Amino acid sequence: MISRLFANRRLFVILLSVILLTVSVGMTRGEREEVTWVEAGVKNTHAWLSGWIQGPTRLVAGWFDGDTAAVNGSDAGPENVLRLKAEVKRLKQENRRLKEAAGYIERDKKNVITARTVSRSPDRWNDRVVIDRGKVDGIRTDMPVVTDEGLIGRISAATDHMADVQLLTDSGSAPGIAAHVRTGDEEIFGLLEGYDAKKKRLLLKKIPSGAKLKKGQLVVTSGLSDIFPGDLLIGTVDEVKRGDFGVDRMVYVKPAARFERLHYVMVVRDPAKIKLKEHRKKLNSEGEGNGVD
Amino acid sequence: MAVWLLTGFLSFLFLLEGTVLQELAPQAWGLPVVWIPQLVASGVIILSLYRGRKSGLRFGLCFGLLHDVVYGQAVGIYAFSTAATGYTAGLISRQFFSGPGVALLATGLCQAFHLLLSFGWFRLFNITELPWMEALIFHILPSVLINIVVAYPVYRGVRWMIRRTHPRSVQLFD
Repeated sequence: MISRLFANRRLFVILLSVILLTVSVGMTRGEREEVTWVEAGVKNTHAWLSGWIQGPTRLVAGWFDGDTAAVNGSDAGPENVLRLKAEVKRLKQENRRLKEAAGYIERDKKNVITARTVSRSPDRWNDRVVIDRGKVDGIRTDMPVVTDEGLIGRISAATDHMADVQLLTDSGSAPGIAAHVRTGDEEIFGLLEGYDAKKKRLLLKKIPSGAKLKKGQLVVTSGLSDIFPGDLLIGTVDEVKRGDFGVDRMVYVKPAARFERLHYVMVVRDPAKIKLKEHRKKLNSEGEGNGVD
Repeated sequence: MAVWLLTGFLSFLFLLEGTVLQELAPQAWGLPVVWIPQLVASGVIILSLYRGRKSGLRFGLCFGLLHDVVYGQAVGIYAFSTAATGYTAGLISRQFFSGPGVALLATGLCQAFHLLLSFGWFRLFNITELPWMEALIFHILPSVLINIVVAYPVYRGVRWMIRRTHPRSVQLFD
């Protein structure tokens, strides 16, 4: 019987490749602290090349965007004048975007790393953005990523020169983000888990049912979290529903940030949380023998 | 020679998928319809129609793996799906008479196969939690339609490259 199985080579190859697929997915899915050097090399090269392509694209997209509506192509001068004009427009656009970012940095005195996005995952089943800063610039996994409007995601993987950002709109099973709803005098705790693509709302779950929630209240990250610094704006309360378990509430949160066409993003570094993480790691490695988790 | 030319071309398409096309796609302008650009898959399908299923399998595996490493959360899903799509395209090409229309039709069919397969794996491994119907209506259907249109320049590109390197070979699709 086994010889017959081997005789049908095509079937055998298909079976083997499905098994290999399952094994490799099982090994690589989920959270990984480090990527292998092969993957890091491929990712770095891709990010570098994408960065080259992205520049001119942004310029052209900016024209349609109305950023550079003042460009009038009617006076067709020599070619290099046009080129210089385009260059000026590009610089103005870049300047404006960076100023927005800088304004944010000044308002909130936090340690942030400004990065340019270089590419975005083509499928929206896992919504990721690649940015052009990595470990060399101080980025570590799990750091929150914001724009000047609000929280957009977290770092899911980092190599030396690039990092992957998992956006909040990712439909996958990301770990929940601890969040607070500000209701004037008190702060109500909830977990930000998942995204409703149809309504374009983030889902804030596991809120105690006694909470008095109103449309328009602010939702921010919670400082209680081990990973995230507190008080990063996520969005506003839009709709309150009964939760999955019947005893809690679920809130549809209207995100403050736009997720379309992200050009510059900021990675928030909170020194206290980094220290905490390192400390925890050290404790874990010491406590492994003693059964401390 | 042809292999290197095609590899370069497909790599260029791969870079376009994540950068330029993400600025142009309807989802970037706030529409609910999502276009998943799959130019590389189109390229693999078309070169598989020309060069046979083995070639499609090889190119599909390499570029699927590249996609997995660069964007994926789990290595292997696209490597399997794209390779299977390339192989299937090679099989389909034996069943039909030839022509550019048929080539594009086969591209559409294989695109749908590729998207369904990869989405199926994503669902199975719980990497996405998007409901089936939503994925089908808002992601897969529009993607297939737009990808068929965009596949035409890819088809011309691949054809030009194969003609250039094998000027005297028998051409099935003309």
